[in-house]
Amino acid sequence: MLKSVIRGALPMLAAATMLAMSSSAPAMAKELRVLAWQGYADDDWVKAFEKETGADVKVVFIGSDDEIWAKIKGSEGKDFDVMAVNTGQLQRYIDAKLVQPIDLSKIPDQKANQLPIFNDLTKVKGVMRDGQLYAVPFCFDSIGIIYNTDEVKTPPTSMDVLWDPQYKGKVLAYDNGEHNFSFTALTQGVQDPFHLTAEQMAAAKEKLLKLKPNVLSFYTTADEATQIYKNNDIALVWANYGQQQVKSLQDAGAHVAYVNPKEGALSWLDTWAVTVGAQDKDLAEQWINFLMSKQIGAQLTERTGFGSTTAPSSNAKPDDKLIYVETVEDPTKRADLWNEIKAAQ
Amino acid sequence: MAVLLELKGVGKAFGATRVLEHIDLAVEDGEFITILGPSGSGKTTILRMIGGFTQPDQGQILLDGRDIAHDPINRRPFNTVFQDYALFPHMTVAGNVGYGLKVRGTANAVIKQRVGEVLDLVQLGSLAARYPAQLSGGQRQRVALARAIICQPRLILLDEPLAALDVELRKQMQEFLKDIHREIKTTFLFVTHDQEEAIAMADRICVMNYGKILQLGSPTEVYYRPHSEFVARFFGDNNLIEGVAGDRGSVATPIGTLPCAADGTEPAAGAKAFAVIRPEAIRIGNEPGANTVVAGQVSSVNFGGAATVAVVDVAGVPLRVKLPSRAEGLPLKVGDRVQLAWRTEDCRLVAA
Amino acid sequence: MTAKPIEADRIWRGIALLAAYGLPIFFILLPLCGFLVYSLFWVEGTELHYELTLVNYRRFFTDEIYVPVLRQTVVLCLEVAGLCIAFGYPVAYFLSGLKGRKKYTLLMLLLVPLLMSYIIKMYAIRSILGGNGFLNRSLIALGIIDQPLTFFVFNLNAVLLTLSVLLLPFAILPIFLSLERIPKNLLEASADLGGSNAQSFFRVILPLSLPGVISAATFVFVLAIGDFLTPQMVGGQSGFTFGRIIYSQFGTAFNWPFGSALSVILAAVVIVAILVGARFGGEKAGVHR
Repeated sequence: MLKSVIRGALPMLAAATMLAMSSSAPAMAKELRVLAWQGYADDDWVKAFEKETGADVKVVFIGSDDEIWAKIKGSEGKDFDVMAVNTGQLQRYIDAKLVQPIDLSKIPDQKANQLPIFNDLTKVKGVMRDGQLYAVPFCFDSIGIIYNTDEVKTPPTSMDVLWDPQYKGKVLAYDNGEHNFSFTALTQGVQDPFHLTAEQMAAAKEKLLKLKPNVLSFYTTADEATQIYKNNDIALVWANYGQQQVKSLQDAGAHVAYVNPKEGALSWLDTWAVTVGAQDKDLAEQWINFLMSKQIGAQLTERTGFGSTTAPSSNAKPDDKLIYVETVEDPTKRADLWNEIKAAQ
Repeated sequence: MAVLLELKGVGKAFGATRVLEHIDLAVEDGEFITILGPSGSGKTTILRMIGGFTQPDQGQILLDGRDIAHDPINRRPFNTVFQDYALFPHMTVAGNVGYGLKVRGTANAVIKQRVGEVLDLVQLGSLAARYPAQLSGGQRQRVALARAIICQPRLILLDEPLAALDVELRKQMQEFLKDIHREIKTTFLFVTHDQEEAIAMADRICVMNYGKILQLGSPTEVYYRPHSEFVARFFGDNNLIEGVAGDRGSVATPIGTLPCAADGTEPAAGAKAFAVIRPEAIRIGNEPGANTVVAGQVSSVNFGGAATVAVVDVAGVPLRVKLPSRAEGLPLKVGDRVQLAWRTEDCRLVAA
Repeated sequence: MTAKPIEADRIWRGIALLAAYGLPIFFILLPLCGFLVYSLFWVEGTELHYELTLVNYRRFFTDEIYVPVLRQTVVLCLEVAGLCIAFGYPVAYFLSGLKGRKKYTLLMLLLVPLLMSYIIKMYAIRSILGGNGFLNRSLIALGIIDQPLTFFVFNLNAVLLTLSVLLLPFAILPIFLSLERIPKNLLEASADLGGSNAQSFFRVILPLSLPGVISAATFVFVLAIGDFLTPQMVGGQSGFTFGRIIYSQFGTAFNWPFGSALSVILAAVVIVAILVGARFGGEKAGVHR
């Protein structure tokens, strides 16, 4: 709260100072206030956009989903014009009416440049509600399977490979109940892995218990997984950190490849949304359109390792099925069940 | 008496400091021998070498003709009463006393009986179940002694065991130790810096300083017939009158040429020397039998309980005279002119 | 005014008292009370209900995983304490036998790991114990085994070993200090009375160093039971401990009241351990009345 007040006050103070210094001040330049993750609004892009539009762009970088919520909710959307948010999180902003519908006609490059799996926004789950578009996809990453090409000769196609008895003690899994229930439910043919019924939950738990003998360890960070990989005989990694993790392993000299499972890969999809408090909605849409260029998409992938929605990347093949993570039905319940699985002997 | 233990040419240095120089000492079987000296004289080092806690650099320690100087501590048939007792705090009195038997594998029943006997001997029978922390200083002292005698060692080493006790208790314990010594007839080697304690207890006193033995003899010998200035000064308030040695044991001093008893240890004629006269050997007035008489003036009279000490100025030399006190007071006052007399055999001659 | 210095003195004493009592109250007692209060609330979905209830405690005792995991964790930490004593005692004994500067230099070297980051130590241990780690590769190179052993890593054994290695300094120090406090003349007395080195050790040194051993065991046990990182990092799929459950309640489940209840229970175990240690240690120290 305090922070946002200060942030709100600063530009005004700066403007006032400028006015005081120069009596022949030009008309107030257009201003765009961007809330983004690192890597989503690089300096060269910002400069190019400012040159193109004559606008003044102010970028604030955030470090967590909760921080975005605090900043946007705290000012009821008035402190920022445009924000980066993933599809799972987006829903609560729509619920709280903190974001406003986007006029897609102002963003022609979306249609022109976006990859087939993102091109038809009516088929991208989570960005639309009640026929209105609330966000435009920007980048994504999937949770696929990293496999050791020395040990796994045929590329796996499904997460079921993690249960294959020949990889006993050679699997690295991720220590998180939410995702683990979701991907296991997907292997069991569940349509909505984020809202499991009691039976589906029980079935997933049963199956996860059977995964344990194959798991060498549950990791929490990409770095940790790489370190374990180096010192142990690992065949398969459930890649919570996607390409970032592939790169880390390859840098460490590992022979690995990456696939998204055919039953669908859990993915996150970051989008751009316009706040209800946007001062200049047109400018915000111009910003989104600007970022839809193929060149920026390629740069994004190169610089961050994330999959771009405009330029092809190894994060997903054109026909891969991506399932964007949503808030699950009961995180506490899943955490408790996950503890029970871990505690089981 | 037969010799129990013999030190031959024993020397020891700690770094550059020589703490013992070529010590020869024979301990006789059954005696109570005291090693007496100020701190740093080397007396404790001798005890620790016999006990095995320190090894000599040179020389031999002979027991039954065999050199034991480098035997391990636990193989020596000696037991020690340590200065601060070194009782095991986690064991009862009985546990402490029985320890020596326990480590020898003695049967528990035997240990129990022997512990009972020894505790009775040191009059601690009723405290067997107490812990050291629950005992008084004197009681701990007795436990330490009981612990040292239970294994019937050939020699008991006592390292200033009474130093931590107050005066009254120390007197009692001196008596007590002598009684025990008489009772068990084991050889005691007792180290102390207190000459009164040494005189009160020992059969023989070995006076040490600077890592050397200065004199070895009975308490009366070292008390009355000192062989050196150090010994003469160490035993209380001797009068030492400086002069030059003459023939046949006489010495020329500012108060005249004094005849002295000769025993062959005197300095050669012409050497600087001291005439040594014990204050209690000096009489007031020309008494029969006195060989030497000098005149002087009383400069102070100090009542000191059993004895009264008067200081008499004789030709500029102050001489202390110790007289038995009397209730009505001595017929002496400051300023009186008096004659002092003593026998030749009470005057010794030592090198300066 | 002559009263002034006394007044100032009183103020200073007040400040000192405040620091002596205030700091523990602020940084230990109040947080603990906070946990206690929080443990009486309850959570439904993502909603926190500020109503007093014992439901979290009931859940601990009735649910089938919590009591067994706590029991297993207590056993594990006792084993860690045992291992730390078994390895720490000889080291402390060796150290206390050294003389002068060498003794304290070596002691310092042994304590250096305490200054290192926990995570780095764990990474190092993991690369030693891993399937292709230093230990397995050495054993294979020496021809002792031909397949990497999985006995050391990603299971409870690994947690046991890692905790023991990490906490060893905490065992060495109190044992070393208790050995240092034993007067050297007690050893001389023991030898003087005919005791061999072994007898002197078992009858004198060992019993007198027991208070140090017990405080070492208490230290290690308490630190081990509070550790939730080690089981995560080296425990694999079977090395699950009570600390992990508590961590998950705060970290992933966002069930703070239940996490608080589990923390209160763990705190109770720790307090019992410390009391038992204090009682035992006091008795063995030979302090009688």
